[in-house]
Amino acid sequence: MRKSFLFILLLFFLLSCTEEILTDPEYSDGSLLTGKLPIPEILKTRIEGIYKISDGANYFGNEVALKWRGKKLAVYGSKNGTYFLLNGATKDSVFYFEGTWRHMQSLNTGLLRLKINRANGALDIWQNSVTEKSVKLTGSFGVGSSPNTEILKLTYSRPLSNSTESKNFLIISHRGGVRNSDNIGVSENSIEMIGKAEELGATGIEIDIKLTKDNVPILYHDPDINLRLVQEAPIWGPIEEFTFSEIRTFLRLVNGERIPTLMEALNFTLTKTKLRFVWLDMKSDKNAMALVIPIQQEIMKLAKSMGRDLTVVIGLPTKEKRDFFMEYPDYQNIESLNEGTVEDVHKTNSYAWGPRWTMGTQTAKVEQMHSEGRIAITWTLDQIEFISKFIKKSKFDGFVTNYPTIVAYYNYAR
Amino acid sequence: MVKGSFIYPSEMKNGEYKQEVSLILAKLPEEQIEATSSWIYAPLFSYHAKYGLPYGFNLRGSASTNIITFYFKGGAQWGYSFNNVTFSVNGDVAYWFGQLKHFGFNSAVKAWSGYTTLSMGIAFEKFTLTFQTEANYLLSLTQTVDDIETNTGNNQNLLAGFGFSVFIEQPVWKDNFMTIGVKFNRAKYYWPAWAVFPSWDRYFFIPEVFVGFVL
Repeated sequence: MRKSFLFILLLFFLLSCTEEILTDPEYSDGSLLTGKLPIPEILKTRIEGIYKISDGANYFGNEVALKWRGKKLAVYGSKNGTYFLLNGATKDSVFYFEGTWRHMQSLNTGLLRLKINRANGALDIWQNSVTEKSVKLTGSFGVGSSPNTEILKLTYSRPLSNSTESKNFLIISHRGGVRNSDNIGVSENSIEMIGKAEELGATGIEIDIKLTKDNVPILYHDPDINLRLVQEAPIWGPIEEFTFSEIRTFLRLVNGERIPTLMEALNFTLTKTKLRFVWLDMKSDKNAMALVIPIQQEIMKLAKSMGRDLTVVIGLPTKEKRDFFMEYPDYQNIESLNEGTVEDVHKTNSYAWGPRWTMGTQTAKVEQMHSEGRIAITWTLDQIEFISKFIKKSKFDGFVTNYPTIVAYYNYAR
Repeated sequence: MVKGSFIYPSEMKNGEYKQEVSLILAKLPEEQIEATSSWIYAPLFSYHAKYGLPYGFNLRGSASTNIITFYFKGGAQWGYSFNNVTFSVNGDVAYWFGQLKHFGFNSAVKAWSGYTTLSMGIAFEKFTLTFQTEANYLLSLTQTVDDIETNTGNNQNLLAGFGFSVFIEQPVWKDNFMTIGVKFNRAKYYWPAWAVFPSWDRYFFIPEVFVGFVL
């Protein structure tokens, strides 16, 4: 009996040690784009739109949204969180695209190449005469690091939704982008992740704020130092028991990045991205308001002076954090996001209300917020079926999500 | 040993009735609960019964709850014994439903699941050892959040998971048997954790510890 029980325990621990790692595949035959010219900015928006997928629909669904994100053409779909990130170039009027695809909800990834031939609408793009079915992207993709063997064909269907731009809907990516468990090769709550957020479809970010022992606000989610968030390190225990110098010296995030200070993260967001919204989720066990609010105010002031549309809100998730906030002088004139009740929002005069999505659309309360000049953002909405229905039925001004690619698709296709 | 055990897949006499109560404790994946401080979560209390039929068949049923979910499962098993080794195959269907109206939730769920299980039991002098492999299928899933309802077909999560279990059964006093076991699940959808609204199309490792008393 004792031996059998030990055998079971051994099995239990052996099978507990599982880890899934994903790395981006790369082309081994060089880039298709070598020797070609950048696509002129004026043409880029003419390529954007909603496209139907004929060949390749079993992998990527029936429809995707194409939207330029900086220098990359991003393709967002709903099936398993499909997205492509493509570099583009042009030569002899033909458009060439090359990059990777990924299913955010699984670990499926691969390479893909597409082009728009003259006969498939390239000239319509140059001549600004794109119409339904006039543009076709054709090419192939592979699964994993294998060569491109599957055919892919996208046909232009319609422009991106008009209401998308006018409504300024906020797609707020969780933990600066996505979670470590989503395996995109960049760590959550890092500068590098904030740099990826727009490619993933986000227009805002939610980041987690802790205080070091010497009162430096940093980005970190968990109470303790652990291997989910950082690489093996000589220091261990509650993160807030270590000084910033110790954290900088001894800790690296799981993908090798440094743990950023709040100031570094907000400066980067302001100067290196076009993100419009930052939700500071106050995770510190201590009262961090007197340290975080001045940084928030400084960044907002800088943004205003630069003519930059950027709102940074202090997240108030609990009664304790709301009490801390209300101890701060002139708190009613500081931009905050209150996760409590509507009455709590009134007490703190918050700029935004942030209920859990699992409470439903709460349309009457959202409309009340709007009538009071506030916005309402729900969190953390990840299930495809609910994202689709909340986009269609709710009146929220934005969602926090771990799948900004999926929200982006439904937002652009609404 | 065989007579007093419950999970051991022995052939039962026609009309024979056996029952067991159990407690299952599971460790949910960090990815789903978004923290590392997890160890044991959501105890699941169950009552199991089986009823002997001719030709090695028996009917099985169980009722389980983790407070926010109620789960009813029924099916049939066929077993064949060879010396002190018994093999069995069984098919089961479960209907389960739950709701959570606190802690920022206004959510409900109802679903059908299906199971196929292969078992091998070995009877030793003082205890029995049973190995099981199981595949489970999510046949339909209806989730509700306040005024919004979604119906997930069986295309994405048809094979919701599979598992491997090991159980030891032996008397602890007189003829009163106890079962101790572990189950290693690889699951896309783990029904006791429905309230976290899992969104992955990936299989996660979810270990369970099982403690039962044969009544």
